[in-house]
Amino acid sequence: MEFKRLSVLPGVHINVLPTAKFKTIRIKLFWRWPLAEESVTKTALLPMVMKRGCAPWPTNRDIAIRLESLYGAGFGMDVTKIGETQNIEFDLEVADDSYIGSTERRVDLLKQGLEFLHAVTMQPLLPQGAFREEYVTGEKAILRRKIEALINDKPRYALTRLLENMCRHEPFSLYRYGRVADLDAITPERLGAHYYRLIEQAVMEFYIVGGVEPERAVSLVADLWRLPKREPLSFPAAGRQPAGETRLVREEQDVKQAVLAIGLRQATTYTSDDYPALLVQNGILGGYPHSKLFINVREKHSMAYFAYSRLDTTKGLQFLLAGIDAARFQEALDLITAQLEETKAGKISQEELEAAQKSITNDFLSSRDDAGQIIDADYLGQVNNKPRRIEETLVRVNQVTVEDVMRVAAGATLDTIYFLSDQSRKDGITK
Amino acid sequence: MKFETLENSLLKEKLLTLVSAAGLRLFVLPKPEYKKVYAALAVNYGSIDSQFITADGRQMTVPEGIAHFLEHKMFEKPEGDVFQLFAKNGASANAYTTYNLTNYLFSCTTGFRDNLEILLNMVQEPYFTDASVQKEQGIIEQELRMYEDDPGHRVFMNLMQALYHVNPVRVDIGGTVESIRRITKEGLYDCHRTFYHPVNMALMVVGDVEAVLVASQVEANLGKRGYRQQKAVERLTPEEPPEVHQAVVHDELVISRPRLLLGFKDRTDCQGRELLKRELATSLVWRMVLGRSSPLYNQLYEEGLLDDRFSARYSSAPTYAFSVLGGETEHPEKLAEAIRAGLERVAGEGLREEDFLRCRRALIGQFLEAFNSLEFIANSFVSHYFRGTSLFDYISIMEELSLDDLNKRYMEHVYPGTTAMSILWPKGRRHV
Repeated sequence: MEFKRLSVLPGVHINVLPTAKFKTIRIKLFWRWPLAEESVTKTALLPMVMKRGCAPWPTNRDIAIRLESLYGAGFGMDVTKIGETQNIEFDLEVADDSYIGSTERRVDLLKQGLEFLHAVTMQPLLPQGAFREEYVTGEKAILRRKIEALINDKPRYALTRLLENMCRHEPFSLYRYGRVADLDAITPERLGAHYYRLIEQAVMEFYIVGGVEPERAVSLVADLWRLPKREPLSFPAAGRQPAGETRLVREEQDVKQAVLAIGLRQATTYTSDDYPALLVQNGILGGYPHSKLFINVREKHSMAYFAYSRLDTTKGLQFLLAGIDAARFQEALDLITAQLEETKAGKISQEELEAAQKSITNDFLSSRDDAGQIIDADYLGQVNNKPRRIEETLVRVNQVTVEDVMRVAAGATLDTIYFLSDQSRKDGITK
Repeated sequence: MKFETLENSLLKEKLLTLVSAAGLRLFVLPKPEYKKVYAALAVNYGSIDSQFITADGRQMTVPEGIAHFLEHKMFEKPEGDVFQLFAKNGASANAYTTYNLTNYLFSCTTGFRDNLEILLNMVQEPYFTDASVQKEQGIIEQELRMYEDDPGHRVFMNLMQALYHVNPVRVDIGGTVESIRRITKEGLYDCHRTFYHPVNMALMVVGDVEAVLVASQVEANLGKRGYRQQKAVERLTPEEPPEVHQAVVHDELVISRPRLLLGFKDRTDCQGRELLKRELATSLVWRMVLGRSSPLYNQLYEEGLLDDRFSARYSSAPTYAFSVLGGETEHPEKLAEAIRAGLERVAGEGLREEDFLRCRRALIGQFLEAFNSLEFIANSFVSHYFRGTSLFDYISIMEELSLDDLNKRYMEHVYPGTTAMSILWPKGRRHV
């Protein structure tokens, strides 16, 4: 299963995967833009305002009616951060025609779906170059709530704060939804100007997965998206920064459970030859319920309510997270770093190695059963400028040895320790 | 070993089914193009089954929440936690309990046979000790207390207690802190013996598997356990009056915005295909009247009375049926009034043909979309099976429905309706 890829205009690419596996056609459109202070909030707000209305369907209700008419097509949008890029995603799912022919005459849902996507993205309500005032005001309030809601999810909040501190000299420290402080300065005109900039300069990637003929899908897109002059930006590889001296950052909040978040810089990244071994190292250390962190920190020592590790392979970062009792900070920190040291020292049983390999295999193969995950995995490869085939990665994952894991682990350096706890529980902290 | 085949031409799916010698109902839906295999072993035993007559004729009343408690305990064996066993085998496993059933499941891309063996053994080999029951009481008590602080859960449970006088749906699936304390090792064994018999269970496997191999593995595993024939369990449901228990219930919690839920109590006088037909008709009605494309929803949205997390849904089973709608709002009482006024207006005008056709089309499309998910297929299928309906009838029943059916349903259930209202206020802001 591989995408057919074609570039139709400068910086506009179409990726099609024909398959009879699904009962729907999944269409995703990504707009890639640099992650930068001056644009992060505008880029996050833009698709929210765009989905409020477009020329053919100017209100929420018009759009809802249109989507229902397309056999309950699912439509959403979001913003993601991959390395130093900020990506707007438009996501549309329509039924495959062959399943709905019985009630009424055949409908061309691929074509109608693409026309809808074109209307929302290319025919916005922009008289005189400004978005509708009430839509901008309304969506600004929603975006503000979305950014502020981060604080409700403590592990996610802790991870975000760790990143802000750890990458404070890099754009990667920015939150994908932007900053509340930027909102006031965003006017309907400025947002309109930002839209035009993206139309001209963003890299656009179309993905279409389902029962489609690639040639037809490409020609439908090419006929609809007739963009005038395009000067797409080029995107450098994700920035790499060596770990500095280890810093401890503490924050106090009224929380019942403290969160310890540890950030590591990994020498291995998505583009490295050792990428499969990095996945295995993470699987052994903290990716699964059979990993060292879960077994030792949670099960054996009952020290944490949760304990796991996560990778950002594009940036080469690894995060170790645990929900702990604030009084046991030092003990938890020692125990968690000891698990990392074990992967460095090769204290890894054959059973641990195989369990990690099996779980990674299960995750990767399972992702092939979901069109959205198939698309996201390929897009990650495009942003990193290194397409990877899952089948090849898995062959390599299953060849990884304890020595490979040790080599990868040796490239991991402790960078920042972030600790979120209740102010009344100051004990247990030693610098 | 002979499979019966059920074909669905609209979904282009083929389902194989048989009953094993010990009485277990097996369903296999081959999906050769999928990498993953998903298996669900479901027990027709949920939180509402708290009064029943056992196989040997004893009438029993068990503590509320025991089905959920039992689900937790089934993962614990003398040799350790079965979760770990699945994980080491590359599978990801889970379980859940609803009002009606307990479902144990896993998915994997390799080693299906081994994982199925783990699942079958786990569910059929209870192992409880006084110490482990006591430990679990502590864990579940924490879980229940956590739910008490969850606004969505609290406002819903308050509504169920307002809608129902005695029906067990008014009690949390997990039970209460008090009822959990009454659970004993012996009680768990009793419930396991009564309900975890193959005649009361179903196994559904979806994915790239050979149905014959699954069936022979099931026969071998169950065959060695010496099950004796058992009659279906007789469940006792207390007589529920048609009217609501309480029209309005207020409560408060530390939250940022108030929450409103409106409940509509429905009658319970149909089963099988008719039950599903009523369920689909009601879902369609709610979508037409308060869905994203309805004038009423958009009017309330523009007036700032609701946001896009507002929802309306219908749940039904042979012993209960209700609709719940609502969400977060600054003005819960005003919103309730505006909804009632809107529903009255629709009652006067009648539902519109155009909305009916469009919304029905949308529901059919969304059903197809859900059929991409092996999890959805298996979980919904077993749930329908226990309730005496078939997931495969969804599209054909949808196509049978007429605007008359919906208008009739509207006047019968929605307006004026048998309703109750639950409001959860931010602490200290009640009745402003």
